[in-house]
Amino acid sequence: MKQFLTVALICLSLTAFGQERRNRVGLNQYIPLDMHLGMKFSANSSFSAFKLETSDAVASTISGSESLGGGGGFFLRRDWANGFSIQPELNFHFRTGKVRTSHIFAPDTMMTITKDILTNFTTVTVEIPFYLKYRWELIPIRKGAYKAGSAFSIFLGPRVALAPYTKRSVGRNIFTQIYDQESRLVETEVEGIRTRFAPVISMGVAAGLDYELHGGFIVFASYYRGLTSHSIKEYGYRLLDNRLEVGIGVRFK
Amino acid sequence: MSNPLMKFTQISLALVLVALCITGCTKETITGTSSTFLTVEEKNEVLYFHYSHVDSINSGDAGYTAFSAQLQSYDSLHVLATITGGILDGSNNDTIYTSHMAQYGILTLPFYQSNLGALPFQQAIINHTLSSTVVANAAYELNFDDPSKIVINTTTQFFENLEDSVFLSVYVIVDSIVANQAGHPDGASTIHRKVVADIGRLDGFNVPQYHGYKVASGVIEKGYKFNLTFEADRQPTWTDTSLISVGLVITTRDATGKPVFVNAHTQH
Repeated sequence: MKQFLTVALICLSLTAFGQERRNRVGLNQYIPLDMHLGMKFSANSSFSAFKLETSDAVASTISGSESLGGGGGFFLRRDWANGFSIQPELNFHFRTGKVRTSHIFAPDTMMTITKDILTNFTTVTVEIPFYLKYRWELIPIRKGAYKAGSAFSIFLGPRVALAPYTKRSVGRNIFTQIYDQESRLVETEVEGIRTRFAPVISMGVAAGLDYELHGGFIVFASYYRGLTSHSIKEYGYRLLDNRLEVGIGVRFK
Repeated sequence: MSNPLMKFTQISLALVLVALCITGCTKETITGTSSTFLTVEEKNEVLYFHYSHVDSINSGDAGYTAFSAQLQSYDSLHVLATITGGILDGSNNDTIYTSHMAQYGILTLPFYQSNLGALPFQQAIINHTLSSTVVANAAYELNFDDPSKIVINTTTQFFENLEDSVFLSVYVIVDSIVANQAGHPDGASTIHRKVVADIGRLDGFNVPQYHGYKVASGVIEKGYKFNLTFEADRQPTWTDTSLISVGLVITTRDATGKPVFVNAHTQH
């Protein structure tokens, strides 16, 4: 509910932006006419696919969730003929989440070890999409006159994500039964472990659509699917991104 | 609505709401109540076994003298014990002696083992052991409430990640047992120092494992620890509990199944 409210408010805020005509008098006046520079912000809802790696456990489960994330960055659109453009971007993205795994190991008939591991993580990524974009120019009626400038677009392309900042904290609850004797180790924060959560680089593909008003303001929505894990595989699981991004942008005048 | 200030305000409002949503997510913590564990020191100790037999003249002569000297120098820092064959005050020493002689192929006495290798106690071994990474260690406390038993509560802890099968041996070491020793001038009144008199057994699993109970296997993570309680029979003559101690020995196995030393601990 919180996420939907946020997205709704972001969209409502756009009503202020559609009323202004775009002129090349700002930052874009310094670049070629077929190139357009802008910035964008988004709220992102991630629902990664949590997959366990193969282990010696006789039974395993995994679950997890990710919070609403946020992102922002810059785009550079270069127009081609017939409505096609290429649009590389440089975005920063932030998110938090948690992964809970449970494994039961029985390495010996006299030994059963149940490990519940809870990992909380935070990751900031620098994401570089490279989109192929197709634009339909629209001609809305405004104040009785025809004004060109607004456009509806679809885009698709690969994305590389670099993780300059990533950390994890791990809690564990290990229940040991050896020769009918039991003991339980509970640690809310395991010390001395590797704190990095995400690999240095991951990648995926994204597709989406945007609508640019003739004032240069943009509303967009995209879906990103990770093709590689955004968690380090040695931790025993893979997290493949499924992310819905909704946001606003502005193309500089 | 075209006022730039209004636009800026609305953008900011949206971004603040996003930030609030992000920061509003609470961190989840693991729950549960931990067992009470003994404090396990992150340090290595050398395990030094002196092999002897009550009927061996060499054991009563050169062996006894050499081991007494080692005790004087190193007993306060490392785990030193004698594995003795023959009858010794009703203890289980002879079974342990037989199994160890067979396991390590020992044919002559006296014989010395450092960290389960056929080496005499020497400074190079001490230096190597002390400077090695502490992979695992164990701690214990003794309970003498039952006069016929020694209850040994242990905690084993890992200080490094490990992927192996790990075994824990609990040697009950009794100091100053008076019994005969061939080759020693005190004869039947010889004071036997630091003798392995029995091994700790797991309650309900009375098939004794003279070279250790398997206590961990597979992927073992740094920081993992567990408790185990062992029992051993206590002879009526072992009245002075200050003379009873335990040597905890952690081992893995080589390809032939032979114990490979990891660490040892006793209370000094």
